[in-house]
Amino acid sequence: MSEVVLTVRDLRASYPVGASERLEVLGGIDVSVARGEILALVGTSGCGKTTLLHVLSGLHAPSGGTIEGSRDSMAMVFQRPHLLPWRTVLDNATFGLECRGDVTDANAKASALLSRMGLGDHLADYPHQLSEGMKQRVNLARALLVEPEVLLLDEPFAALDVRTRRGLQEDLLELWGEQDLTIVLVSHSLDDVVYLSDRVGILSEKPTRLQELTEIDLPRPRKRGTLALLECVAALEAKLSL
Amino acid sequence: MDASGAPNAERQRTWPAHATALGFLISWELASRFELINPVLVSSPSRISVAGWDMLSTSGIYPDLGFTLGVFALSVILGVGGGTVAGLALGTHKTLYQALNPFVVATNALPKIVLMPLIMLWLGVGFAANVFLGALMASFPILVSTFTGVRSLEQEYMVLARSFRASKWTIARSVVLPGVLPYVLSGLRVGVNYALVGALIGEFFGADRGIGYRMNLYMANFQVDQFFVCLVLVALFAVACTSLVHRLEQRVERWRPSALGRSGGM
Ligand SMILES: Nc1ncnc2c1ncn2[C@@H]1O[C@H](COP(=O)(O)OP(=O)(O)O)[C@@H](O)[C@H]1O
Ligand SMILES: [Mg+2]
Repeated sequence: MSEVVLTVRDLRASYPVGASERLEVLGGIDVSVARGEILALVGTSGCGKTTLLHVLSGLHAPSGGTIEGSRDSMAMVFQRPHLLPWRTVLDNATFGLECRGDVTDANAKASALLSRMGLGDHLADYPHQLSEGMKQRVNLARALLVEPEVLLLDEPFAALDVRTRRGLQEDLLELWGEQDLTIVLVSHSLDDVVYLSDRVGILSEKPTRLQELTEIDLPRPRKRGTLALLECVAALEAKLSL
Repeated sequence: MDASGAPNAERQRTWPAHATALGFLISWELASRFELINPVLVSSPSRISVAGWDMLSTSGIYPDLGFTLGVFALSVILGVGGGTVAGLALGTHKTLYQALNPFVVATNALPKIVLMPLIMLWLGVGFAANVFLGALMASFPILVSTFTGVRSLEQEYMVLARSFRASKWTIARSVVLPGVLPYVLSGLRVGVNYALVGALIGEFFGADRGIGYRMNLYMANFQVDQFFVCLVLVALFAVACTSLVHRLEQRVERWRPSALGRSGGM
């Protein structure tokens, strides 16, 4: 395996429930992420996928374990687009840069990227004027613009219809191919992740652990609906239902 | 300039209001002319116009207008400043909220006018006391509205900003302030009216200048025509202020999905 950008050891996380009890969500996750790969973690709803990404990005303090890697160069793409309703598409896209205090050429960079993603005609629109797919693109652009080493994606396709979902996935793969980008993606959909990922990890539940990692050894660019792809999905499906 | 797009034609028709106004003015004039009502007590549009021309073409009223305007402007500025700061502080600081909320609620419920004798005792009759009352009255609706704004800010915007390692200052400037601004303005819409009430009440209570002082004086001398001139001036000014704030609100809320129904409000 090539250079490792992120190593997670025995990572635990919990939430306070009631006065003194805590709900253990992550029960010791071990994984390392190689530079440039797309790693997908799959688990059922409520198993702690969002929690894991929040811990990785520093939004939620872990209750145990270690994270090694440059956490400052991670960016999060949230499950819901989280666009600020009073900002235009362009200003939403530059929000991440603004937060990092990196505003030189922000508008130029953002409009270039947004145009590439097919939003060139919508730079001055407000979020309520956009479709779900467009919102999710802005969400993605906002994270990509801070030029993260590791991009954390929280079920970015869950709310989208099939066509929009595929369009966004193609965009993502294209940008990933061009930049030196590492992606950690969580999802509950095997179809999506097998098409996109280099490795897929299956999360067990209560408390959540990483069960096993499977290499998706298919050449890129991949084609949807091929037998090889479907076999991969079926094999993972079998492991998931164990 | 109406950000709400094209509200239905029903709402845009203005002739019913114009007809009402015209009908009212004509009836008033006629009732007064034919002495169906006592013209000395209720005046008439023509008498008010003549008195208005007299008053506005001589310079006597302008210092009083200026005085009241000064009290009003300062009340608004202090009221907005105080109300916004207090609303932000109470909305973001839990302990502060718990410590002060009962007192804020009580003061808000209190008709501020009952404080005027005390304020005058402390600050003396005149400018300072009037500004104090005006600012106090203006600040509360803004405080309450700003507080509501802070509390209804989506938590996910904060999470988003934190995920990009935003500083507290950036969060305040880029998330909290723009999110709360519409609420400040909707408080201000009520606040400007309260500031005007505060400014005038101070003058009614006892002052030696200002438009409220003049109204008091005219009433004492049975100069009903002149009183009505002042009344019209105050009413026009109040409407102008409210619609100015309304415009401001529409500008700030350009991004809202639909401002439907806004132009038909009260
Ligand atoms: N802020 C919170 N407080 C308490 N419990 C939470 C909180 N956020 C999530 N949980 C719980 O933690 C578990 C994992 O949640 P989450 O990470 O959102 O799951 P997923 O993203 O896989 O659907 C769920 O049981 C959820 O109810
Ligand atoms: Mg989730």
